[in-house]
Order: sequence, then structure tokens, then C-alpha cells
Amino acid sequence: MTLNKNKSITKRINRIIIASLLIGIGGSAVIFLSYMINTYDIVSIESLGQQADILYNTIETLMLPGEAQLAVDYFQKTMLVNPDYQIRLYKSNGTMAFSNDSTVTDVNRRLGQSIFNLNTNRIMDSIFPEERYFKIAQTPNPNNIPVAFEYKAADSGNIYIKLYRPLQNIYKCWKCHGTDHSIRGVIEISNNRTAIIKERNVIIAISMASFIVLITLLIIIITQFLNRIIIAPVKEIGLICSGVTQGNFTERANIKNNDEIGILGQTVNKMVEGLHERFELSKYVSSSTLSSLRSERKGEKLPLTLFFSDIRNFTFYSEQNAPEKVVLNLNKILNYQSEIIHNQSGDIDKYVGDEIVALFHSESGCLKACQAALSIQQYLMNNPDDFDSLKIGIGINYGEVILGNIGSDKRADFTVIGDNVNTAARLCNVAKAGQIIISDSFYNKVKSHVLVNGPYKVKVKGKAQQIRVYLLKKIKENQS
Amino acid sequence: MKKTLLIFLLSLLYSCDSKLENLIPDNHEKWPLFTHDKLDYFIPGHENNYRISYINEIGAKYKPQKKDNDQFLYNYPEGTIILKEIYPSNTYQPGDIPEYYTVMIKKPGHPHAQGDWVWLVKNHESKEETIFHSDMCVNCHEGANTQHPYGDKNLGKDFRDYTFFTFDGQ
Repeated sequence: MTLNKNKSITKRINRIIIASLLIGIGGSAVIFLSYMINTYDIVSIESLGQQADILYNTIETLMLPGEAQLAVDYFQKTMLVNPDYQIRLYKSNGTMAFSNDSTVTDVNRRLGQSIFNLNTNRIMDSIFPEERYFKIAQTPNPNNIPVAFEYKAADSGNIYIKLYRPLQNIYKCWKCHGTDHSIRGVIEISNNRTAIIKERNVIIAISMASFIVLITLLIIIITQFLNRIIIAPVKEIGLICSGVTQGNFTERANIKNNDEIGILGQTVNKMVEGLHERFELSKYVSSSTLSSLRSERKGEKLPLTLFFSDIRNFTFYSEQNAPEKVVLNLNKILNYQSEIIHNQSGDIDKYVGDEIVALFHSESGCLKACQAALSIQQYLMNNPDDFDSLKIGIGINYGEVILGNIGSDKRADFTVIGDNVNTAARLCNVAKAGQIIISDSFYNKVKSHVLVNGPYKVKVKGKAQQIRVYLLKKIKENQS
Repeated sequence: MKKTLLIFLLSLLYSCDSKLENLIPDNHEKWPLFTHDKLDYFIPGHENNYRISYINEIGAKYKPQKKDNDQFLYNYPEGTIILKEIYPSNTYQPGDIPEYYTVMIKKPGHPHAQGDWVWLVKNHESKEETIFHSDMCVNCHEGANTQHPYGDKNLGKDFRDYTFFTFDGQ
């Protein structure tokens, strides 16, 4: 199973961290900022609304006794207090109030005498209101809600909040201004917000930059922390497990943490130690024994190919050579044979001194046993120096045997017993150096595939009559 | 978008304490007319929209007191409702549907009462009632309590309880 890098736990955890931080902190920051901005807007508009109410009452108070000039002065002085403020009063037709004598003339006419003087100090007259919002402001509404809007000056590029507050033609106005209109005019208050908006944008930019730095730092810190505490130890454990699958039992998890991961590391170390022991033990135990341990088989009768090999004149060889050399060459020749037998799917049942007892299962095992035997003898004949000129004899038989767990409670082997086992052992005994003697029953299994010499009659120990045997020479060309 | 938001915010600010009430009965057509004058001329606040005024039974039964100086002192009883149908134009034909109603209800002690009257507007189609929190109505109607340009012009300067007309009892 290969690791999909995009689905690795490291990347997933990093993604979760980044997503959590962005959604959590980022979302909170966005909500906080938007609330801040909205709150500021609300406060600004509320403030302008209150100022509009104050101006309204001031105008009402000043205009009733006919003190228009005081109202004009008041507007101008109020604007001087804060240059960012603009206060204007428009007539209902959209022209600036006090910009000409028409209102004064009209009032004097209504009153029937020239009470008010002409040529009042005029405010500039070339300014007009925003038509759309001016119309909205002039539309009566139950709670006399002013109209507020954002306005960008075309010439300066300044941004204003403007508020239009209608001036009603109430009863007190009728005497001078008549009853033929509902709205006397519109008060305009505008607040230059350009500097504040710039400041706000700087704050937003700083906030965003701080947010990015903070998120980056948090990601690094949390990722490093998780890497050190969880991911690195898990990776280390994974590498050890991977090594075990490839036969490496030497590595151990070096995790000092006294937490769940530390306990996992210790458990894995113990597991690897256990596996190592079992692996080492399995070298001394046949595949059948391991299989029986797994399947808990108690014993059964079945046909098998029984393969015996034994070194000729080994007793003499061991007496003539130093023990170290004897063991070295014995292990060497046993190793070589075992490897070939394993390669041919044979199962080493046991080593008895210089003898190998191997089993080949199934019908195809017969031919594989032939191939193993021929390979061993061929190599020994061609490379005598590799094994200090040691030679072996091989006996192969086929027949029913009893396969079972033989031994005591303390020590047992899962091995084969029966007459056919003994026969195979006897055939091995009679085989001379370099020979492969096969029984008649085995020959019948492979005769269409092999070339043999024989049959011969041989007398073997434990059998009253001679038995028919063959010398295995080679596998037919088209069979190998 | 930004501009719309500002207007919206402002509306919220100014109307946050506004409540939708159900103070105006639906059967005002059965009430007596408050005045039989033809109301199709311009009045500040009502423009020149055609208007028909009604008064409910409580108000219709009321008779004003006369003070020592021959002035009448109107003080309509609590529960009096004077309702003005406001039509879309300055003409009227039977069957025309009013656009909305402006209503004054005598309710001394009501948190939004001005001059002991609660001033409302009711939309004919949606039936939505909105109480005036501003002094828009009362600022003009206080002119009714002295000499004014409408109806009998209140030449005697009676205290008319904020009504420009008096119920003619028909």
C-alpha cells in the first residue's frame, strides 16, 4: 500500500489547522471589523441626525421672530468650528436659502408691510442639493426621518456623509410663508469623512497584515508542536513497522514522551522484540509446524513427497577436520540445500545432524522435489570446492504419512511419521555420493516428466523384501 | 449599496421604538362625517389630496363647554377617533379607494400622545398602522386652537382640541 501524499496525516492536520485558524480567527476578525465599521457609521449618522434636530430647532426659534440673519451667522460660525462640517439650508425649490431677496419680498407681501429689509448678507448661491435625495427628503413620512447618504465630491474626491432634514411648514410659519406648501426647505449637514476613511483603511490594512502574521505564526507554532508531539513519533513508529515487514528488527522507537504516543512507541518496541524472537525461532521450526500452530491442527493422514538428503562419509570428515571447519561447511551445505528446497516450494521438516528431511506437498510437489534434488547434485558436482568436496546422497519417496504434532507438552515437532517416511530415509541411506534414488511410487508420479536409470532392486533395512527403485537422472527437456 | 445601507440604518435609528398598533377600527365608514366641507384644497402636510373626515360615536356625542368669556373649550373624551381618508388626487368619485388614513385618537397618557392625541397613519392596502413620534402633525394642528385659515376659521379663538373643524352633528 503506497502513501497518498495528499492524504497524509501531516497534510490533513496542517489543512485542518489552517482552515480552523482562517475560519475561526479570520471570521471573527471580519465580523469584528464589519461591526466596528457599521457601528462607526451608525454613530456618525446618529450624531448628524442629532445635529440636524438642533439646527432645526435653532432655525425654528430664530426664524419665528424674523431673525434670518442670526440663522445665517449661526450656520457660518458653526462651520468655522469644524471645517469638515458643511451646513446649508435649501429652499423647497432647491435653491440656497438666503441667496436672494425672494423670500423676504414674499414675506413682506404677506404681512402687508416691509418688515424685513432686503439685501440680507447672502450665502453663495451656486450650490444645489443632490436631487434624488432632496426629493426623498421632501416626501412627508410619519416620523420625519432624515435622508442620509454617502457622497463623493467630483472635484476634490472627498467623501462625505450628507444628511437632508426637511423643514416643515408648520402652523407658526403660515403667517409669513403661507399655507400653500408642506415643506419649507431642507437642512443639509455634511461631514467630510475622507480622512477618517483613510485612517480606517489603514487600520483595516494593519489589522489584515497583523492577522496574516499572526495566522502564519500560529500555523508554524501549532504545526511544529503537532509535528514534534504526534506526527514525528507516529512517522518513526511507521518506519519501524515498515522495517519489520522487510525483516529489519533492529530499529526501536526512541520516543521519550510520557503520553499516549510514548506508550504506543513502547508497545511497538515490545511488539518488534516479540516479532524478532518469533522470527528467529521460525528458522528452527518447519513451515508445517508454523502452519499447524496457526491452524491448531492435531494430526492427519495425507500423501506427501518425502525428501531425504545426507552427506556421505560425514562422520569420517568430522573426525578429520577441526570442529569449526566442520560446522562451517556443514551449515554451508545445509544452507545451500535449504535454499534450493525452499525455492522449489519444499518445506524443511527438520535437520538431523547432516541430514535434511524435507516435504513437498501436492501433486506438483513431486516434480519440484526432482528439480530440487537435481539442482543440488548438479551444483555439488560442478563446484566441489565450495563445500570442501563434501557430497550427498538423496532419497525420495511418495506415499501416505501421518502429519501431526509429535512430542511432549514441553517440546514437540509437527512432523511426519509412518512407513513411507522410513522408506525414504532408507533410500537416502543407500544412495551413494551424487545419487538420487527414488521409490517406485514416486517414479509413477513423475515418470512422464523425468529420465531415470533402472529399475533396480535394493534391500533396505526394515523391509523383508527388496524394493524397486530408480536413479533419477534428469528432467525431460520440455518439462523443465 | 452603501447609500442604501445608510438610509436603512437611519430608518432603523429613527423608528426603533415604533410599534405597529391596532388602534383603528375597520368600520369607520359607518361613523358620521366630521365635516361636510369639501376638502380638496391645499393644506400643509396633506397637500391637495381629497380628504373625507369621520368621527366615531364617542366623539360625535361630545358637546363642548362654554367658558365665562364666551369662548368654547373643546375637550373630546378619551376614545374619540377622528379619521381622515386621504385619496390619491384632489378629485373624488364614490367608489374611489383612499390611499391611506390619517387618524387622531384621544388617548391622554399614551406614551406617544401629543396634545393628548395619538397621531397615526394607516395604509389602506396593508392595514399597517404607524404612530407619529415626530411633532409633525401636532405642530400644525395646534393652529386649530386659535384663529386659522380653514373651515369657520375659529374667529372666536376657541380651544378646538387640535381639530380645524367642529362636528356639525349631521
